[in-house]
Amino acid sequence: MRIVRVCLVVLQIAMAAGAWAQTTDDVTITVKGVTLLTNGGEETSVSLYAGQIALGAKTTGTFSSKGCGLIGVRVPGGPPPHEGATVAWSVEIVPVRVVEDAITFRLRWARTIDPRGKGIALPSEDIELTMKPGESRPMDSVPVPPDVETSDGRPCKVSATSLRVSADIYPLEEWDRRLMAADLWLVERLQGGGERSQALSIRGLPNRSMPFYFDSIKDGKMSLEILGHVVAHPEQGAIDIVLKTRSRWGESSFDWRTTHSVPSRWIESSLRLKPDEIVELRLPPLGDSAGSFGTRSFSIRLRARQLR
Amino acid sequence: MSERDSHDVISAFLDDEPFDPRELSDALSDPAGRALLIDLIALRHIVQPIDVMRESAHPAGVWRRSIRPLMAAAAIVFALAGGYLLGQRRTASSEIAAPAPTRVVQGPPAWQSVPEGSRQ
Repeated sequence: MRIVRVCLVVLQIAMAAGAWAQTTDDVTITVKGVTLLTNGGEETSVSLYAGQIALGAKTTGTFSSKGCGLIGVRVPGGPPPHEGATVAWSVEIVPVRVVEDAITFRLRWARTIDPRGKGIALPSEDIELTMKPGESRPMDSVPVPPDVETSDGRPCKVSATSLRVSADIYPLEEWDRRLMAADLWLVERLQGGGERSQALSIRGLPNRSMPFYFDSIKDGKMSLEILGHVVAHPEQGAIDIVLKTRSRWGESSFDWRTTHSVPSRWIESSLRLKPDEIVELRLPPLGDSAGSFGTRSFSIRLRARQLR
Repeated sequence: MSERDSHDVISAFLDDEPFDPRELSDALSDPAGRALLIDLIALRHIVQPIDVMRESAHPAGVWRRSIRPLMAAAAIVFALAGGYLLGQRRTASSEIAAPAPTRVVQGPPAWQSVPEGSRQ
């Protein structure tokens, strides 16, 4: 019997998503067949990917496993699961709604083949879940017997096979050909009325984190660092931006192995930018605890565009 | 331009033989070409016998004509090196004037602290 695998090797998508209203174009659901390794690690083997979401539309599949954590997934119309599978699950996903930055969906799954044999109650679930991209939840896990060997007779390093459901950014990173760019200026308003600034440009995929790091601002032996990330979400005639800015300060000269505790703060702002618009976000004062930086006035100017 | 072509045009320039100024410019735009120019000048300075150097002394008008391409080449080298250094400086320091904003937005009233030992 042929074994057909849908080998969607899915990268872990743990990037921060923005706080704008997600649409069905931006988020998807994935059920991953995962192997737990004897060393404690976890590896994704195969995925059932819901793709572009249509509310109410079912995505179904059957996962099966045998031997040393060999996992396959069959989609409707395909051949049956592994011949001689020691464990199998049926899975059904139905998206219900997308609100703010979260997707709500119905998940039905059932273990259909169990290594303990027939005549026992098989676990299953029928639940409604709400998740944001990057979040996941374990579904079921079945141990791999310790005497199992690999197909070429070596000791098996898989301790269990399991399923995990997650909400992910749509489309997958490797399939998204769009490209976003943002120019950022860190501007300090000087007491004399002038300003001092530094610039940087960043690029990345829509809806995914684009980190930025400005040069340190030095004052005596101390340095202020402004960094963060931008998430750009293309809209019709505009780009929605989530700008997460962090500030931290400490001695300019440091040993990274011992300097772990520096005062660090963050703010998050949501902006809608029109083409060619340059928006200035005024950062709040850092306050007395930031020493000489506490009373200085900083802002970030931002321009964003979609390159393709 | 190949390394051989660069060598030929720089040699021709130093030997006061006919050369294409554009090819010389191309050759000197490459760091390897500039290094070759310096090497060849040094080499000629070392190996040229003093009497030959004396014999090759030209009348004032001829000297002025022969020094002209050398000055042009020196100007090219100076401009390229200057441009390179300026570019290096600009890259190292990103301090440039920010464009005026089209809109100003007041950020949140205060920074949120990141508790020690946590990530934000």
